Amino acid sequence: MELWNNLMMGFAISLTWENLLYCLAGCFVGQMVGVLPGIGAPTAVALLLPLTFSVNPTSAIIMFAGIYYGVAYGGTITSILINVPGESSSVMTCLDGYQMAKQGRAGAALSVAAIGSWIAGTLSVVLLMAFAPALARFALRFGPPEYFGLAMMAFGLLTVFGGGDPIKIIISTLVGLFLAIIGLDIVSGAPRFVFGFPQLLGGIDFIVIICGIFGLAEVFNSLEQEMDIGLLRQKIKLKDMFLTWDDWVASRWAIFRGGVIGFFIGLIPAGGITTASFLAYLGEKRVSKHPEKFGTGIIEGIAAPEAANNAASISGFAPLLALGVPGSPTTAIMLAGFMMWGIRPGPLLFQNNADLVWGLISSKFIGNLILVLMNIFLIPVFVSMLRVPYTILMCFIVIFASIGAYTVNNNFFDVWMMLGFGILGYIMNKLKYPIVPLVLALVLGSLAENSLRQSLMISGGDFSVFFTRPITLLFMTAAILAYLTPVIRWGLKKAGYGKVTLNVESL
Amino acid sequence: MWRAEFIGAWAVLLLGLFIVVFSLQLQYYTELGPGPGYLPLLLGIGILVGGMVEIVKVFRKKERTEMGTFLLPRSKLGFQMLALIVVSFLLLPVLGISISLSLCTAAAMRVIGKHKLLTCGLMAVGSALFIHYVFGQALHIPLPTGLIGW
Repeated sequence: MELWNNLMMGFAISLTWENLLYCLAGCFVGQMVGVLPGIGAPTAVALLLPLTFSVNPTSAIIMFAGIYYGVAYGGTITSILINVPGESSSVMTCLDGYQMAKQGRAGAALSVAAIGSWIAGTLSVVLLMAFAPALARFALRFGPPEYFGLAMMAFGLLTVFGGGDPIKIIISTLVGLFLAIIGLDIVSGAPRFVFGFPQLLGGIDFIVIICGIFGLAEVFNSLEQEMDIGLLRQKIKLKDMFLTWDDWVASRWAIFRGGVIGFFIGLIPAGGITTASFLAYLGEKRVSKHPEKFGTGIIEGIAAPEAANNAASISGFAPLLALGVPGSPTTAIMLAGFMMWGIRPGPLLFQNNADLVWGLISSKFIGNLILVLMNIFLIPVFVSMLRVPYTILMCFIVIFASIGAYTVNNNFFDVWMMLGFGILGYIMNKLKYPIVPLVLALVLGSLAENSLRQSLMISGGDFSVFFTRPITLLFMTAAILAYLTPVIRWGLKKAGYGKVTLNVESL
Repeated sequence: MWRAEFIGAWAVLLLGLFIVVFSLQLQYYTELGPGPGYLPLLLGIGILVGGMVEIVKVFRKKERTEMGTFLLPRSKLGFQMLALIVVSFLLLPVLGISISLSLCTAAAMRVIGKHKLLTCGLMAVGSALFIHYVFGQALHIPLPTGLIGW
């Protein structure tokens, strides 16, 4: 009953005209960002975050959530029509989606992606409603050692799910933590790595870093790549968008399985929507009666990964809201937004800001509905966006990033720093140092340091505090195992157990 | 690319060294517990070790694989954009944010996108109006105005 009352309260908030408009704007921007290759949800949220200083936090977070799951919908369009995933989470959709489009079934492919995403998204919201408050109640038991263990586990899981060189992931994480500690030490008041710059006393603002490392770096990287968009010339009529009974029968269980996989992967800090879509595709292929047909244009090959990435984009809010630990770069930026608005996500959020939490959760029902309608009726509009010259888009990113960085403290120092981080992001991308761990570490840096220091103060400097409390032990064990995963993989490979990695080519 | 990887690994190592050196000037441990230099020292050591591992890895890679090039044929477009951004940032205190960024837009469209002069001019005016009215008026962001007052 309490759940029902909370949900009704949430709808009373999310159904106001103002919040409906923000939800619609978020879904539209998300869908647009998803369609445009090279621009991701973190970039969009990072660039828009500084502009929401004066906006009601609930409305702003509803909009950002709309962008996040809107991207998961939008990325599908280019995957199916031009075989270029708008987002990494739509890579798996290319395999069967483009094949279906070539067979003249682009409408059905787009439709199953939209409807599958909607069903799985709605399922994920229902599960989130039940799961997030329970997780928050559980997290009320957490003390500093548990929070330190949680942060370590989140960093550790990046080496498992990060999909890159583990050493580079660890280096990126450490650099992110280093950036987080610049400024005055909150315990002793000692300045750290400030070098006489008064602007650095308060630390480097998160917005300055993300506007540079996501926004500007994106510009430099995108300009370097040839954007050859060969749109599949195919007229998609509205009637083509409706699924046949056979399509529905073939895809219904794939949608359900994908949704469940996506929900649980999204709950894992650093799990991510891309991993969810990979695993859902692999799982569907494994349970299928005709696995050999995957990759030739079958509807289950679209339904499962699309359902999974949308479900994960929604369940990813559970660790953010209940624990204050983001599961992805986009939710990490949203966490920075919460802090900017003076709200601390975590177990107490459900008590102190119930209106925000339930307004957000209920808005996901509305957002999913908006998106499925957009995906059925507005496909030509989004496809036409692919024809906008890339230079114009890049210039607008520069404008948004510059103004965003300036807005933080109203000084030019931040704008120059943002440029510096843009160059850093470009170099990191070229040298394959992943940016996501840096961003997550940057956001969780103060939590990790404060909880480490508080824990050691409580224990009198005894490190056993991290291994004697059950929950902390669980987190630390998971973290250690995660860090050891590359070594375990290497050992298995040496022992002749084959390559334990996800290989798109082999799917 | 091998050289870039090598320089990158050395940069990581030097960053670690830099953090270690400067964190040693901070108090490592206090009577209350870990001091302000505690975590930086650990991070510095971690980055230093990471840099060393990367250097070793890059050395071992040398004979094995062709790693491509750091700079691509289109990289010059990125550098052109960077130059335009630097110039527009230098002009920020003089021209204000609306005009300097809109000039950057027009220049980027002309130099990088090879658009017609008229299109670039229209985009410059459009983006200046966009910045002024959307950011300045609608979102109430106090934009730096420069000498012209825009």
